[in-house]
Amino acid sequence: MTEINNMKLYRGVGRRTVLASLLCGVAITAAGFAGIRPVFAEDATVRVGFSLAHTGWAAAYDIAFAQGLQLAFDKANADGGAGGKFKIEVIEGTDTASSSVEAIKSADALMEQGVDVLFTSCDATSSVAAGRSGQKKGVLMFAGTSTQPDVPMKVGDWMYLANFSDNISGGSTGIFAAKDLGVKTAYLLKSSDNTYTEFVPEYFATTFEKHGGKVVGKGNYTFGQVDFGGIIAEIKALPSEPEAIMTAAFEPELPAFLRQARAAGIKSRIVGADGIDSPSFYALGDLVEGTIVVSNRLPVEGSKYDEVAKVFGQAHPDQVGNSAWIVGYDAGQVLIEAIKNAGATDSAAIRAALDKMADFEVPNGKISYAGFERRPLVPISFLEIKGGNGVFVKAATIEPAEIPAPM
Amino acid sequence: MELIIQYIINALSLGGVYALIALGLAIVFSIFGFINFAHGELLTLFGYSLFYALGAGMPFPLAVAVSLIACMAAAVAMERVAFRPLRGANPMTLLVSSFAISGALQVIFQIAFGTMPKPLILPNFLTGAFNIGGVYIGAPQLISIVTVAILALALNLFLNKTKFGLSLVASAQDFDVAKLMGIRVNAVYALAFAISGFLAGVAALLWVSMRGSVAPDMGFNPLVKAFVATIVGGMGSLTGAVAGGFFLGILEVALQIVLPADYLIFRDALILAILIGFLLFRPRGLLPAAAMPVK
Repeated sequence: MTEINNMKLYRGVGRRTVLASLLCGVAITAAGFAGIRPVFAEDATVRVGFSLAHTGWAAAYDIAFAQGLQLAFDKANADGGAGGKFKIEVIEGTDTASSSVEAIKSADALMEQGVDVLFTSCDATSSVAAGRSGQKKGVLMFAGTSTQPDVPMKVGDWMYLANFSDNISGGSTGIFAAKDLGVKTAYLLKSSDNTYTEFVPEYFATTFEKHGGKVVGKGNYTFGQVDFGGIIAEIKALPSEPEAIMTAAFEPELPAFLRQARAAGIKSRIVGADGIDSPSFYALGDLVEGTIVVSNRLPVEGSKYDEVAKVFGQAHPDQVGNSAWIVGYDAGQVLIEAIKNAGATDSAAIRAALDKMADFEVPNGKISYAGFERRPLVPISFLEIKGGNGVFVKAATIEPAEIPAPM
Repeated sequence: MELIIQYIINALSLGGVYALIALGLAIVFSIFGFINFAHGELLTLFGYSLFYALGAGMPFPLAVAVSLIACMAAAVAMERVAFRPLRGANPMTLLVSSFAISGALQVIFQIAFGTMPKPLILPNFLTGAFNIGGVYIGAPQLISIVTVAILALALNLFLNKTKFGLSLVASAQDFDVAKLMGIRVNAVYALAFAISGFLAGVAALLWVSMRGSVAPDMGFNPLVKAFVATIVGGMGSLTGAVAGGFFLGILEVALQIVLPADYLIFRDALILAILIGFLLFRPRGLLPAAAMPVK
């Protein structure tokens, strides 16, 4: 009887255990399909997805950006993880190929794998497209090296810029030109082909005029344009030559414009943006001598930047001149700090910590997210091209009250 | 007055570069009946070849010669590897193949040479400028106009006075009859691609002297412009390709002048609208070929 009872008891327990196990299994599988990953106390790994371009125009920035991120994560993992306990696992997504469609596929696949943080491409269109899925799922996202302030605005409260925004860099450049360079008159060379080339000169104009400068004219070019005769004729027709030409144009249009402008005898100083902070532009010799470039880099011997650049340069000598890597490295540092402060691995906790971040020290200076609507306040570095090199002139952090409103 | 002369020179030089690229496309089209969309990558190849040749310490003329040879060899290899196996296939098949080659080459360039543009430091005579009576003429502009004139003349002489040239013209007019007359098919195919590669190389030299660097996707924009020029000029017509190139150059510069700044963004859209107009009302272009290619 006892044996029979014991057997019944054993069978009863067995059924209940099997049933409970089955229910648990179904629940875990369902949670897995829904993209929800339970955070166990012992699960101290933050899964970071790279949804970046390996081909197409955006690859020129995304590849170096990813290398900078990886350097920061490798260093943190070697030291025991973020805050000494949260390891960072990188999951490489498929190539976004500088295309919105591929970006959505890549980001969706990474989110199905349950990433906690997602880095999207520098291509604003791709980031907005991919970001919409992340926004619905509540995944913390950073838009690569993108500088367009409308990326976080279009996607929503889970998308952050890792780089400075155009209104911060353009506004800082306006102040620098008026106050430090003493420029009195400027001509704006713009292109409506994208918001970067259209609005950076306008942000410049806002602060430049506020600090005593005068915009004497504006010219519009299109991407792929090789003849700038019309714009040059307009500049030459001005009552006096502008002291500076401010533009966010980059290669190949800017060198073509410069050749024709210099050939036509225009000597105005070129005040550029961050799009020309590239070795190929510096190497254009006399044509670009004296050009002012906005940069993420702080190429000063013995600086913290210099120290990290030496380490990065040993691993990636071909990319150290590409400033996208330092944006990646800084973004990695920011994420590590946010994870440490959150003391958790889930997106919501890390985001909350990021929103509180103020004056966090990265190799380029202090970075703040608190109070800046997901567009970090960082120092802007100004370089002058001399003898084929970007010579550091100044790094400046714009006063929050002076930041032009995003357009 | 100086300004008008300046605009005319700008338009002619820009048109000249488009004409050179369009000529390369038209030569292949006249024989094979398809537009080779991988032609733009020949421009890119020239740029990289020049970059590495100059980097290796070669004197500029030698570096240009080596790059031109590389461009011609690549064009011939393209024909041998990708298009010859498809001989006799529908031109649409060849067109799609050329797209595939273009995409593959762009990725190969990116993997082999990196994603960042490579700077090209060219001699002053290619990048400088002259002031003639208040009109500033850039060296690339002047060279472009002179080069197109010389090459158009040389090509004309080659096509009409040499055995190879005549066999090319015969093949373009009626490929099957030309074959029956004993013309060596493979040699004509290779020659057409070699000339197309040479023209791409010369156009690339002018293009990089204007832009100052070489990047993996550098060839795409000029190719699209040359494609428009080929259609406007007359598909398969070599004279038409030159005319189409100049027409496009003049149109671009004119639109740049007359369009208000806020409407400049529509410049390329207007050019494409004109292209659609040609396709609708004058599909054989400004100067049509005597006969459309049969292959």
